[in-house]
Amino acid sequence: MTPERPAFFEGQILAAADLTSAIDYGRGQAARHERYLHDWGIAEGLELTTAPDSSGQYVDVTLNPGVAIDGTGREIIVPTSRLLSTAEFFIANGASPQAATNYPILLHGLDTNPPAAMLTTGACGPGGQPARTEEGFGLTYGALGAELSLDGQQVPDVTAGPVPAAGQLWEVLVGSVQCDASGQHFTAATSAGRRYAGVKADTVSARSGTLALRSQPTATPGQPVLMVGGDPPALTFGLYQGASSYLSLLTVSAQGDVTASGSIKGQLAQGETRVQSGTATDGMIIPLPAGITQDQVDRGAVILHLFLTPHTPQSTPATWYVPVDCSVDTSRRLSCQVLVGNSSSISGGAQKQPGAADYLIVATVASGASQ
Amino acid sequence: MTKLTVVQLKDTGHVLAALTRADPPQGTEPVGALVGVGLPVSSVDGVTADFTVPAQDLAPVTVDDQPEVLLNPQGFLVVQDPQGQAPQVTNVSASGQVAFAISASSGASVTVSNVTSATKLPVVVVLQNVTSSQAPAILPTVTAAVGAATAVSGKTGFVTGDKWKTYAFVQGLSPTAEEVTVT
Repeated sequence: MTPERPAFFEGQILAAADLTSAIDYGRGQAARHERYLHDWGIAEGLELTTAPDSSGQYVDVTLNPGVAIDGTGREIIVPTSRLLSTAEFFIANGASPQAATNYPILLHGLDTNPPAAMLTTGACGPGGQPARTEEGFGLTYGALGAELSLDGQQVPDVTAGPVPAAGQLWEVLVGSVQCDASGQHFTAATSAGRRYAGVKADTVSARSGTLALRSQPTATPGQPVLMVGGDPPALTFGLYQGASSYLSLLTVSAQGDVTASGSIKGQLAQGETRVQSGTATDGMIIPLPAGITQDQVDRGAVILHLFLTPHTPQSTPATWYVPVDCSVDTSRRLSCQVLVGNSSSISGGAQKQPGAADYLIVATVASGASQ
Repeated sequence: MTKLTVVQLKDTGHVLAALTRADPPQGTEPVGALVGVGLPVSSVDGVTADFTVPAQDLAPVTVDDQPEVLLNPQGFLVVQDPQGQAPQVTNVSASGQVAFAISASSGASVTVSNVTSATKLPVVVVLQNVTSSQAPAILPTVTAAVGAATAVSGKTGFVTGDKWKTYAFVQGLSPTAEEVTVT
């Protein structure tokens, strides 16, 4: 149904429906904004917290104040802390409670009409009609796994206001509780798995000249931030050091220059080379350069060039070293043998020992090879 | 500081091989990447050997570089710090004696002596029949009581007069090699 904007004129006799339509128009507009420009979820607060109960054996679970936006665009406000009811939980899940298992706690908007005040006696029109609607909330003690179907809730028609489609309450997960084997006491609560409100936007712009995207509501030291803009303009990824300063880790300048304080890894380009070097002892497998896998070598996608140099101590008049083998097999296993002798063993008696080799291995991406 | 990756015998801590890399990998590394299915050992205590220690008996450890380890890996062992600090590589002890006895009637035993730091020590033993040129066998690790003979193998397969090569890796001591005649 096409939305209708109420219009008034001088001398018009206003009926209750006229005033109600003025309010409904605004409510519908606000709900469509929330529904189509935002993702539904928790906007603020609504954490579940625990405290030891009177027995000291179990916990009381409290839903803290906060705000959520549901999928109809309705704002759900929890104005004050609410103690979760073990009795209601037992009614919902007490038939076969599973201890140490997360039961979802679901929040939904709920309209109620408080008793109307009798303003006049004998006035025209019906008396005792409610003149206010309280936009309250309700809690559902969900069955195991009930939270898994929340993303499938039915969104109202495009013209509709904050009214659940097909009369189904729109549920928002605020956390989970665990109970004991009797199902009559809470033992724990968690806020894990909650869905938070988001933004649907094709363009996000800044007025200060710098747009910041961060992972926490406030700038928290050690947490990441992505900055776009600045002077000179750049795209920067970094970590907050304070409320307004951050350590730049990766920057793309306006000229397209990329500066990273760490290493950059990615697909190898044809002709690209990777190098590893060091010293290995007899029997070891010469390691591949970083980023090169044995599979790439086996498939011929990478060609290896290996250079070995016997790694022997400097011979002295007392002791001498002569390499007799320094090679690798097809699996790059090093075979390295050295003759060790002393001044009395020049004519024989030198001992063959395992040795070491300095290696330089170069991996080159073969032309036409697929990675 | 350059890091040194050593491959140690799990049960005794003896370093059997070592490697340095200009660009070492981050995180833990499977021993198979360093030795494949096993590490061939071509010499023990200056005596030619020809056996392969399976990869499952080995473990890689990364320590601060010590260039001398690359020249004689078996002269070092890995010491795990009891206070949870990073493991260290240290020289094996020059003291301590290891002796084998092989009898056709009672099998092979090893005796560790001249050790004051412990009363029992794990020992990895490799035996090879030289007379019949059999392939060497790595025996299950035994715990040897210092000063007493500890059986490492039953009598099966030992023939009087045969010569056997014995290789012993006693925790804390230099690896030893000895040729023993079966009595």
